Amino acid sequence: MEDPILKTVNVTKIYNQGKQNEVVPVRNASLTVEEGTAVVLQGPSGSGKTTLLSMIGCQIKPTYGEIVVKGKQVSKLPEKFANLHKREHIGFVFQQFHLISDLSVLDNIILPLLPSGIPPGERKCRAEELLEEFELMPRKQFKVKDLSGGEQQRVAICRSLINGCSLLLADEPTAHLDGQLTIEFLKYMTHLKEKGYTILIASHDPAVFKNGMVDRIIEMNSGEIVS
Amino acid sequence: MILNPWILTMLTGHAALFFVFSLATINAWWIFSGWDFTSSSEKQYGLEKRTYLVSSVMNLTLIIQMLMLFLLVMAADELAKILPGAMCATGSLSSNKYGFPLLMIKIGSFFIYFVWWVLNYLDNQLEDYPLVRKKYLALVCIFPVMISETILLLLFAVNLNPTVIASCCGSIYNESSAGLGGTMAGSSPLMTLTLFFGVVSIVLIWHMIENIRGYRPTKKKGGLEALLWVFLFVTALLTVISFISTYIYEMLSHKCPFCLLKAEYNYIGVPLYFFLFLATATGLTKGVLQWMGAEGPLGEKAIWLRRRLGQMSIFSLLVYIVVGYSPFIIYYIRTGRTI
Amino acid sequence: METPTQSGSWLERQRSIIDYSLQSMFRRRTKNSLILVMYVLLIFVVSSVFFITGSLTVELFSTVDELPDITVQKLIGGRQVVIQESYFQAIREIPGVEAVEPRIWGYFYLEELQANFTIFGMDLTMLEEGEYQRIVDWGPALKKGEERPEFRMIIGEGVSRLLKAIQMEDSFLFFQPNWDTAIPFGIIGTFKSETQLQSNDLMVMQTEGARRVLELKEGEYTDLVVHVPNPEETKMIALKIRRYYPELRTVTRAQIESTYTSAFNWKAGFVLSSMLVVIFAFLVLIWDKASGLSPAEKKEIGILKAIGWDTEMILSVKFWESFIISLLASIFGVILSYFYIYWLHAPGLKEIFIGWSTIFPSFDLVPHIDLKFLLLIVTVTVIPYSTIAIFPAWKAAITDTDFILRNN
Ligand SMILES: Nc1ncnc2c1ncn2[C@@H]1O[C@H](COP(=O)(O)OP(=O)(O)OP(=O)(O)O)[C@@H](O)[C@H]1O
Ligand SMILES: [Mg+2]
Repeated sequence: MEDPILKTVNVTKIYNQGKQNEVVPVRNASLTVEEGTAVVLQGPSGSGKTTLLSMIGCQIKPTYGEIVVKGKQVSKLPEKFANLHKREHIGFVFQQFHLISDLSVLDNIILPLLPSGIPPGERKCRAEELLEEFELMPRKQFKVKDLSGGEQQRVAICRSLINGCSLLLADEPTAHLDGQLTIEFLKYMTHLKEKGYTILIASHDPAVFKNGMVDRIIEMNSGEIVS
Repeated sequence: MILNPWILTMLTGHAALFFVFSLATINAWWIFSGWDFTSSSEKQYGLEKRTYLVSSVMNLTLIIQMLMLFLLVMAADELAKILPGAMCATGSLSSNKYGFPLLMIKIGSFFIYFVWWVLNYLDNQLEDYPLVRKKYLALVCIFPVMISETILLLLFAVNLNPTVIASCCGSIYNESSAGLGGTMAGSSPLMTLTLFFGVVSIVLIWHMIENIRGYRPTKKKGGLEALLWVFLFVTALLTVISFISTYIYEMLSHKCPFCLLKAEYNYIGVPLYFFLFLATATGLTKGVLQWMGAEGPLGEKAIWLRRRLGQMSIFSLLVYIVVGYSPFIIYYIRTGRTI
Repeated sequence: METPTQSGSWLERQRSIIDYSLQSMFRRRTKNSLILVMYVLLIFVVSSVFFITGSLTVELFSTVDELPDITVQKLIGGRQVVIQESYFQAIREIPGVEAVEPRIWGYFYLEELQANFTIFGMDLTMLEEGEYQRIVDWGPALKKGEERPEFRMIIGEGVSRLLKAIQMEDSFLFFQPNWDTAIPFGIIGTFKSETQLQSNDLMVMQTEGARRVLELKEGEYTDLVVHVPNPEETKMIALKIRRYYPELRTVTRAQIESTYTSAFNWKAGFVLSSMLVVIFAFLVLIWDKASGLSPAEKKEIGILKAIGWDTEMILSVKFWESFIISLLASIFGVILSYFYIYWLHAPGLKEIFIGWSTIFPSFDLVPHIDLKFLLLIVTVTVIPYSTIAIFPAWKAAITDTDFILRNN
C-alpha cells in the first residue's frame, strides 16, 4: 500500500503548559489521510478542529507527537524548513479568508510565490490559469475589499493552490456562506478532488459532511478524535 | 582629541555597531546556554526566534564593518589636513601608536565576521542546525575582539594631537627608514612580485588539483589553505606598496597603500581593495570550512559551499590582479619602459 | 546541489521582495512619507554641516598655502614688539634663505562701527602695475588737491560695505587718540571677492601711511617674512634664527596651518556636537514612527507567514524597506543641502562658522564634493538608523501566525 499523504501520531497541543490557564485543545490525535480522498473533521465548537488543522498545516507546532506530510516529519522542523515544506505541499484556506484587502486579486494570489523567487512572467501565468478555473478572470485587477464573500473565498482558494500543492486544508469554509454559495463551494471542491487533490475540511456544517464527495468523516470532541 | 566630522562620524558609527553587536552577543549567549532542540517549549521557540535577530545583526555588522574600514582610511586621510606634517592617511595613522593596530584589528575582525557569517549561512541550510551551539559560542568568543577594537578606536581618537608633528608616507614608506613601513617599501619590487605571484600560482594550482577526481580533502590541508590565503593577503599588500602604487602615482618615491583610495587617483583603490578583501575572505573561509572537517549532511553542504567560495575567491583574485596591474601595463605600453 | 530554500534564483527572489516592499510602502504612504520627511531633514542637516565644513576647509587651505614659510617676530617680556631693520640683513645671510621681507601691519578698531580692520602696509605700486592688478577693482583716481600718495589704500569688500554705510566710500578719516588732527586716506580700489576669507577686513595702504596709522618709526617693522624654497629646511632655519637671536620668535607655516585649522575645527566641532544631539533626536522620532506596528500591518505579516513566508523573508522585506527609504532620504537630503549651501549660500549656518565679528566675509562657498562625503553622511545617519531599525523589524518578523487562525 502507498504511504498516506498525511499521518499524525498522538499529536497533542498544550497551551500555557504548566501554568494555571493550561489548555489542551488537542490530545493524542492520530489519523491518516490517503492521497486523493476528501475528509471532513467534524465536531462542536471548541473541540480543537482549527488547532489540529493548523498543526497539520505547519502553522503551529505540536507539543507532543508526530505529523508526517508527504513523507516528511514536519512537527520537529525549524520554522524555516516547515515553511518551505508548507509552501511546496500544503494549501490552507482560512476561516476568515485572510486576504490582504488593499491588494488586487492578482497580487493576492501570487503572494505565496514570492519567497520562491519565481519570475514575474511565470507567476502571472500560473495565477491566470487559476483565475480562469475559478471564474475570477473579470475580477483580476479588483481590490479584494471590493469583492463579495464568495468571490473572496475563491480568491483564497486560488492563493492556496498556486504553489502547486497536493494537500488542501480548509477551516470552516462555509461558515460565512449562504446555502447557494455553499453548494457552489462544494462544486469546486468536487472538481478539485477529481483533479487528484487531497482535501481535509474542518466543518460542523451538515451541508459539507453530508455531501457525496466526502469519503470519510473524522469526529472530534473536546480535543480527542472520537471516530 | 580633536572634534572633527570624521572622528565624530567614526565614533557614532562604531557606537551603533558596538551597540547591536553587544545585543547579538547577549542573545548568542542565551541561545548557547538554553538551546534544546528536542524541546518544543515556549522557551525553545523564543530562542529560535532570537537566532533571526542574531543573523540580521551579523549581516548588518558585516556591511557596516566594511564601510567603517574604508571610513577609517578616509578619515585618516582627512585628518592629515589637521595634523601637521601628515600628508595622507599613513601620517595620521602613525601619529599615535594606536592607529595602525586599530587598522589591523579592523581588517582582522572583518575576516572573522565574514567566516562566522558563512558558517551561520551553512548551518542555516540544515534542518537540525548542527552547528548551532558552536557558532553562538564562537560569537560570544568574538566579542573581546570587538571590545579591543572599541578601545583602540577610543585611544586613537583621544590621542590625536594636532600639536605633535606626524610623519608622512614619504618618510614611512621610504626605503631608508627603519620600521615596518620602511622594510615593506624597501623590499624590492622584484622580490615581492615573485613572492606574490608565487603564492598566486600555488593557489591556482591548488584550485585545479581540487577539481581532479580522487582528491581527498583533509583537515590539515584546509588549515594550510586558510594560512596560504592570509599569506597571499599580506604579499598582495606588499606588492601594492612596493610596485602597484608607483604606477598609480607614476612616481618612484611615492609609495603608499592609502593615497590610491583618493579621488585624485579615481578611487582605483576602492575596487582594488574590495576585491582583495573579497578574495581573501572567501578563500580563507573555504580553508576554514575544510579545516573544521564536517561530516554527514553538513559535510555535503560544506562541499557545495566550498566550491562556491572557491570560485568566488579565484574570480576576485583575478579581478584584483587586473585592476592592480593595469596601470603598470598601460604605463608600459605608453612609454615602453618601467619606472 | 542547490540550496533547498529556493527554487528560483536568489536574484529573482530579491527582486520579488523589493517589488513587494515598494508596493507595501506605497500602500502605507502617509506613514512612510512622514518618516521620509523626517529622514530627509536629518540628512539635510548633517550634509549641510559637512558640506560647509568641507568647503571652508578647502578655502582655508587655499589661503594657508599662500602663507609665508617663516614669520619672524620680536618679543620682549612675552609681548610682541617692533622689529628693527638690522635683523633683516643677518637673517638673509643664513644658508637656505632665499629672501627676507619686512612687513608692516596691525589692527585698527573703529569705535562707531565696533569693527576691527586689519591694516597692511606695502608699496602699492606693486599692485597698481604688474600681475596683481587684476585682483583689485580700481576706483576713481585720487582727487586733485588731495593727492597725497602716501595716504592711499585699497580695501576689502567687507570694509567697503561698512564704509559705504557711513558715507566714507571715497576716503576714510583715520584718527588715533594721541593725534592732533585726523588724516584722510584716499580709497583707490577694492579687492575682488575671490579669496574673501582672508581679505575681507583688510586695508592695504602705502607703507608710509601704514607707518603713521600704526605709529611705527622709520626702520621699524611689525615682523619679517622669510622665504625658504626647500620646505624640508624650514624647521632647521627657524631653529637657527632662534638660536642666533633668542629674543626673536619664529612661526612656520605648518604651525599657523595647524592653529588655523584647529581653531576652525573647534567651531566645527561645536556645531558637530550639537548636530549629534539633533541626529539622536531625529533618530528617536523616526524610530518611534517606524517601529509602531499598526494592527493592520501586524495582521498582514501574520497572513504572509501563514501562507508560507518565513521570518527571513519578512526581515528581507523590512531590510529593503529601510534601504529604500534611506536611499531616497539620502538622495533628497543631499541634493537639498547642496542647493541650500551653494545656491542660497547657507543662510543661518554660515554665520556660525564665519564668526562673531561685524565683518564676516560674504564668501561664495566653492562646491567641494568628494565621494568620501557621501560615505561620511551615510555612516552618521544611515548606519545608526539601520541598527535601531533592526529591532522593530525583528519584532515584526517573528509575529506568530496563531492569531490569524482564530477569529479576528
Ligand atoms: N493560543 C491559545 N491559547 C489558549 N487557548 C487556546 C489557544 N488557541 C486555542 N485555544 C483553545 O483551544 C480550544 C480549541 O480551539 P479551536 O479553535 O481549535 O476549536 P474549533 O474546534 O476550531 O472551534 P470552532 O468550531 O469554534 O472554530 C478552545 O477552547 C480555545 O479556547
Ligand atoms: Mg475553528
